[in-house]
Formats: sequence, structure tokens, C-alpha cells
Amino acid sequence: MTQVDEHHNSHTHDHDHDHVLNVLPSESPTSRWTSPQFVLLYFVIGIVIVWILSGFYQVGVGEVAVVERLGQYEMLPGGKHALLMEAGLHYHIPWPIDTVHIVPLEREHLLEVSDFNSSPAASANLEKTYLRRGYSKRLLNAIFNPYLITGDKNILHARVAVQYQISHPLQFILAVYQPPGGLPNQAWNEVMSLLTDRELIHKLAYATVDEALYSGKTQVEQELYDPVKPTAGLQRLVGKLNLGAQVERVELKYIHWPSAVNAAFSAVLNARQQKNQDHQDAKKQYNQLVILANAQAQTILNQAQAKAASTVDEAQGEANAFSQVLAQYKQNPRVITLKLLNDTLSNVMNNVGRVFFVQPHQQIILSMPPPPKKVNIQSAQ
Amino acid sequence: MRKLAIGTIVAVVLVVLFCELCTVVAKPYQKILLDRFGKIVSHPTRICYNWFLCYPTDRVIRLDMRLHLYQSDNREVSTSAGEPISIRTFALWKIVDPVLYVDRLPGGTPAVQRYLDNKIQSAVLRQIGHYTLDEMFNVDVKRLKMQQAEQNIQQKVDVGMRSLGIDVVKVGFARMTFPPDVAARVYQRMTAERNKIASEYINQGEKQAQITIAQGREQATEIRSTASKQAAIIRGQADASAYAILNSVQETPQARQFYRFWKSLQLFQNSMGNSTYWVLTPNNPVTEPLFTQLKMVEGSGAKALIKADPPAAK
Repeated sequence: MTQVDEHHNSHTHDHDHDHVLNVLPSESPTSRWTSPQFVLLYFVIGIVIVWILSGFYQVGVGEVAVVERLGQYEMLPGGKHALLMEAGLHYHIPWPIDTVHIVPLEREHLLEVSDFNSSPAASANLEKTYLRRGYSKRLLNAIFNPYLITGDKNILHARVAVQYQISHPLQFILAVYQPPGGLPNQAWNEVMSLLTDRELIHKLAYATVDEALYSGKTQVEQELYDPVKPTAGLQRLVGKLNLGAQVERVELKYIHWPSAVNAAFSAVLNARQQKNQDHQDAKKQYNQLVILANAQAQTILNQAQAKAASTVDEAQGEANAFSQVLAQYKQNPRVITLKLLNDTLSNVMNNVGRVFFVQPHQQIILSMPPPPKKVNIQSAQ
Repeated sequence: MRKLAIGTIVAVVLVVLFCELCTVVAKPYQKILLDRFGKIVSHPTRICYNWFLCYPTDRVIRLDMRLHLYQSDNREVSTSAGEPISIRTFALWKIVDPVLYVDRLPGGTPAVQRYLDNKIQSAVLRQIGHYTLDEMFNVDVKRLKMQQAEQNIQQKVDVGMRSLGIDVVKVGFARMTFPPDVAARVYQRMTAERNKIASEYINQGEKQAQITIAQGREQATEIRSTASKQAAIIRGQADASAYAILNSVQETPQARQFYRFWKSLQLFQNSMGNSTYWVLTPNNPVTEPLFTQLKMVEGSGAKALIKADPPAAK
């Protein structure tokens, strides 16, 4: 309804306001700006403003943006490399002209691949449900109990973590078809997981179970990704398929034997522990024996050295004494000889147990006790 | 003014409608074909804007040229030795000829998946049948042929794919497992192997311990004998020094003679102890002077003197 119509109606139904209405202009400036045409215009202008403002976008730290304009990426001069918009606030022509793809270029991505690590117990109920529905037990077992087979045909469960960086944003975007409705990069991640599965199957196909579990675990990781040869292993496939990523590290997060053989593997661990314990005990005994022998050897050497010293000292003393006596003897041999004889005889006579003086051809019977040493030996026997 | 505004708005709406209904933008990874009354009328050469007549004249077919993923379900196959094994494969494929692709596989991606499923499963069945389980899993890398089997499967699958406008870029094994009954036997074998290894560890530990202790004893004996040897050498050297010292004081014949006498006195004195019985006759040279002197004084013969305790003499 216009302002004129309103004035007419008010004149008909409300005579008290005649004077007031008569002084109002027939079409005021305010009413003109609120006319339907202008409202529509405001609306259109508003939409245009919103559309223009929707062209602002922000690129976060560690991210780059690639602008796609009417189906073509914005390229650097030369047309070989895409124009990468770095962190900050940017503007692009809004939809449907431009589309912005933000790629986390410098961020480290971690992909956990646990396709060989679901425990049968974890999915037992679901498996039963499918069994009731008539699915083959073989098929269900293969689905619900995934594992790896080693070179010596043993079974292992494993979980792997793949760390990677997006190295080529365009390749990353253009690599894998993403079905509609999925999570972002879901298909790309699935391809990466399958490639990792494939590599893991191949690497463990020639490793023994002990290598995979203990000694060769690092080697398996290195064969999946070797920093010295970054184009080998998993990266070889990633590069060949132009997935636009650089594998930084592959780590076996979990590798374990199946629960069905848990007791046997535990027994091996215990036996290995026992072996180490035996070895340690033996080593300890070995050390004790050697230490004791060294102590005994040192005692023998000390005794020998003491004996040697005393022998030399005694000889020296004897030589000194003899030299002094000899000097006297040279001056008067007879006197010295008699003196020595007398001294000796008197000492002997004082110390000797028994002395018998008998006439020549006189018979005497001496009752001598047996030697004490012999008695001791006999009694010991 | 009013007419101008309305005209502008109508024009904008018409342009938008036209763009929406009669133009199509191909993404960088897409190819677009126009199907006009059942015939492909436009080859996918233009990435940017493409014009077309809207429904019911033209139908836009968008084709994604990126890698597509195919995954098979588990399939039990037998090796050449009849050993069963469950295999799940995956394949990465992409469209290389959009026109051929649309022409030969009008069902699109699901049709390709079905086609690949048949072809890959057939190739897996045949190729795995050429190898033994030992050639699939072996600690000897030279005997391992898993990669070869995988390549052969890819080659077999790839044959004829170009004529469908697609290229199979990669075929790989996503999972290889034993059927349940075989797995149960594998578990039994693993248990037996582990028990054997455990016994070996225990035996090795005991044996190693015995060897170590024996080595310790041997080394201890060696240490002691070496010390005894060195002790003997030390003692020998000391004796030699002692002899040299004693020799040094016996340089003259007189000294040697006197030394012999001196030592015999020491020996005699040392050999006569408390437990020694010494039986002498009066004419022995040791005590002869005693009795000779007595004869000279008394002129009588020597009498035997017995210096002994009566009980001891008994």
C-alpha cells in the first residue's frame, strides 16, 4: 500500500486527523527509499556485498593455498608450478569463479595402519552376528583376524605408524579420487594404508618371526623407510604413484604374536631369562674363582719374596759372621778351632736328650719311643 | 529509473540461470563429455568453461581422471602344492581414454569395479597356482617370488584394459592369511617350535654356565701355577744371591776349609736336639781329651760314665 492510499483511507475513516494529513506531502523522501524497488535493490546489493566479502580467506601456519579459477590452477609465470599462497589473509574471486584448496604443507601427518592388528576377541560379537546371517566362517576369520605371515611361516600381528609430509600440493590434490560424502583425504589415506600393508607383507615375507619381533625389527622399519635411501621402500611407491607426499618415518608401533601361542612365547622369554640368569651366576662364580686364585697367587709371590729376602739376609749375615770368625781364625787357627769345638760341644751337651758313654764292645739296649710324626699319621689313617 | 533497475536485476538473474543451466566447469582432475541424444559430441579438450545445451538435449558426463581404488574381498586360493591361502588384493586404476571408457563401460565406476573384480580374482587364482607357499614366504630372499607373482597378476589384469579406456597402475596384496584350520595347525607348530626353543635356551644356559665355571677353575689353576713358577724363580734367584754372598767370603783355600769346619759344627749342633740319644765311647775323638787327661792323672783305664736318668735308660 502506498502513502497516497494510506492518506485516502485515513480521510474516510478518521475525520479528527484531517488537518494533520492535509499538511503531509503526497510522497516524502523517506517513503521513496523504503519503496519495494529499493528494498529489492538493497537486497541485491547486500547479496553482492556478501558475495564479495566471501572472497576473503585465511591460510594458517604451515599451510598453503592453491587457487583454482574456472577449472585451472593459478600458476606461476612459466606455467610449471602452482602459485602457492602462504600463511595470512588473502582474497580470491568468490564462487563460482575461484575455489581455494588449503593444503597443510609443512605439517607432519601421522597415519596409523592397524590392518593387521585386530584382536579376534574384539570383534567376536560382530563375527557371531555375521555367522548367523550365513556368511562363510573362512571369510569372516580372514576379515576379523588379520595378521601377517613371516618368512618362516609364522603368524604375527602388527601396527605401523607412517609419518609423512605433503611435498607437492598439486600432486596431492590430483592424486586420488575422493568419492563424494567421505571424510577429507579419506581415499588418499586409504591408498596410503594399502600401500603400507603391501610393503609390510612383502618385507615380513622373508623375515623370521624372531627377526620381526626382536633382532630385525629396526631392519624391517628401515626397509619400509630408509633415511639414507629416501626413495626406496614405501616412498618408492608413493613417488611412483605421484601421491605428492614424502614419507618421513615408518615405525612398527606394535608387533606381537597371536594370543593363541601366548603361553609358548612367554615360556621362551622365561627360558631366555633363565639362560641369562645362569650365565650371570656362572660369570659371578668365575669371577670369584679368579679373584680367589689371584689372591692366592699374590700370597705365594709375597711368601716367595719374603723367603728370598730372608735367604739373602741370612746368607749375608752368615757371610758377615763367617768373615769375622775367619779373620780371627787366620790369626790363630788352633785356638779358634778349639774354641769353636768347645762351644759347640757344650751347647750340644746342654741340649741333647740323652748321652750314653759306653765302653767299646759293651752291649746296651735302648728303648726309644716311635717318632711322633709316624704315630700321628697312623692315628689319622 | 525503476525500469532500469528491474531490467538489470532480470538480466543478472538470466545470466546466472544461463551459467547454471548451460555451462559447466571442468575441474583440473576432471574430463567432461557431452552426451547429446546418446552420442558423444564433445571431446574432453577444454578444462575451463564448456557450453552445452541443457536438458533434455545434452547430458554432462564428468569423469575423474585421478587414481581410483579397487579392493577385493578375501579369496581362498591354492598354491601349486595345494596349500590353501586367503588373499585380498587391491588395485589402483585411472581413466586414460574418457571416450572409450564411457563407450565401453557405460555403468561407470561400479561397472569397472565389477570388471576388475572378475579379472583380478581370476588372475590371482591362476598365478598363485604357479607358486608354492615356500616361494611366497621364505627367509631366503633368492627363493622368494611374491613380488614376481604380484607383477604377473598386474600384467594379466592390465591386458585389454587400455581398450576399455582405463589403466591399472598398481595391483598389490593387501592381506595374505591362512584359512582357519591351517592357522590352527600353524599355531600348534609355533607352540611346538617355541617350546623347543625354550628347552634349547635352558640347556644352553646350563651348558654355558658349566663352561664358564670350568674356564674359571682353569684360569684359577693357571694363575696359581704361574704364581708358583714365579715364586720358584724368586726363590732360586735368592738362593743364587745367597750362594754368591757365601762364595764371596770363601775365596782362599784356607777360608773354604774353615767354612766347611764351621758349617759342620753348625750342622752338628743343630742336629742334636732334645730327642737325640748320643752314644759315645771313651776313645771317640770328641771326648777323647777328657779321658786321656784322666788317664794321665790317675793312670787307670777309663770308666764308663752313664749320664742318664734310670727310667729313661730303661
